[in-house]
Amino acid sequence: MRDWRLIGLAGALASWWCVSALNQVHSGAWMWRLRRHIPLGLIPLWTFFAPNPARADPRLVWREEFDGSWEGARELHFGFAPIGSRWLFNPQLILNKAIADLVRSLLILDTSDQGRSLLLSPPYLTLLNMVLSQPRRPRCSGIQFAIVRTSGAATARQLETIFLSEVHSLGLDTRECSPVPA
Amino acid sequence: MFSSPGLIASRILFVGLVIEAAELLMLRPVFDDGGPLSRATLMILTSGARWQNRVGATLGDGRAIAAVAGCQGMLALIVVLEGVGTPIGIASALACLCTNAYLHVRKQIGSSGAEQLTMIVLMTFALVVVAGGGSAAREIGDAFIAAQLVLAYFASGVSKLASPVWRRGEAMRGVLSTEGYGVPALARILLAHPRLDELMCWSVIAWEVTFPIVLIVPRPVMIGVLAAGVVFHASCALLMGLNRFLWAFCGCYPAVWVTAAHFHEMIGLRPDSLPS
Repeated sequence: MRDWRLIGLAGALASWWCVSALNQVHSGAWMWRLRRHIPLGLIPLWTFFAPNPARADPRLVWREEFDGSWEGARELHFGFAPIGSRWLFNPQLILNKAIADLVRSLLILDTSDQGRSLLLSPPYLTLLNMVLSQPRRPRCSGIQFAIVRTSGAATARQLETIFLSEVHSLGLDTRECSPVPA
Repeated sequence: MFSSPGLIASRILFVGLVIEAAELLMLRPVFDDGGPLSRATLMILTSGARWQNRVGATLGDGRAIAAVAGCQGMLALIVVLEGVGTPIGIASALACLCTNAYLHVRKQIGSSGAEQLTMIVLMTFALVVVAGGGSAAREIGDAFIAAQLVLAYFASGVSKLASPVWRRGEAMRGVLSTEGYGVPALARILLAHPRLDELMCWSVIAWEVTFPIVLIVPRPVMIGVLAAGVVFHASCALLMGLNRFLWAFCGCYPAVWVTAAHFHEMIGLRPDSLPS
């Protein structure tokens, strides 16, 4: 006697695997639509440092404007776990990867030439919100963030600014924040 | 792993869940108001997402994260001790699916392939239980996990094979020279000895691309392939800080073992080539 539950299970898992396999080779529009509907990342993309291996660290920095002049840049950085213990316990990896994920999403949008609509994109607004949430001195009148790529930890350190945000003016009520007209 | 719940090896995936819980407990302030992963941040981040991808994203602050992570840690520990063959083990594993799902949606970003695989395993186990949880259902679940693992390694290997950086043997020095994933001293060694980098790159590519053979080769070869996997993931943990990959991926090797045994039976390989 057939067990329909087993047949259903086998069918569901086989379909899931087929979609997973297709997602490795077809990252076109219909796969993107399917991924948007399936929660929890259940349609995996199995790329580990490929095809573009990490060669630099993305860093989120920002600067604040006071009385018409800009202060030096500050960084939103969560640190790196000690090399001696990170093989077991590495919470900093979660936060650093979160920034890297946002930066990657932002750069993809930036290269797709969205123009000023980039200012309304979730990655841009999320990074701006993170920066705005940091403690600021009173009378800060403007803020601007940037993504800096650092590389060459083993040799001569190199820095490259790969993204610069608009300048956002902050009103007297520092919760207000608007981009300065170009 | 589902078919052999008594084996310690079948439970090591849940060690990764304990570690994840501990990490999120330490990170709970970042989920509070004003933190990088506050509810306000998540509201902005998920503003364009469909409802099924953002439900729960703005639910709870650091205290909720601490509570759920704490629960996950205890539940996963129960599974490590009990396995997924006893009622309490089964219930704990299913509860881990719920806690892990909440932590995933509340975080949205910063996840890795290890978390992807863990979520897939937990969801698969839930489906196995819905299908009755008997030995046949567990074997089907194991076959799916084995197939996902084979796909993961093969796809990753092919992706590396298509990469000029990996083919030139220059990938490892770049990765290891980053502050997030690197060991500067080792990166300097690879810069000074580029052949070593080539060897490392091509070893990884070769192992990943040929991993599918693990399902059909004789047992001694299968043990060798899986042992190489353990060495690979242990090295990634030690050298790059990818700590949870070891538990997530190696935790699925029992599924590969069981599935290979059934595959051998199906294609009629000689008994002395069958895993015990």
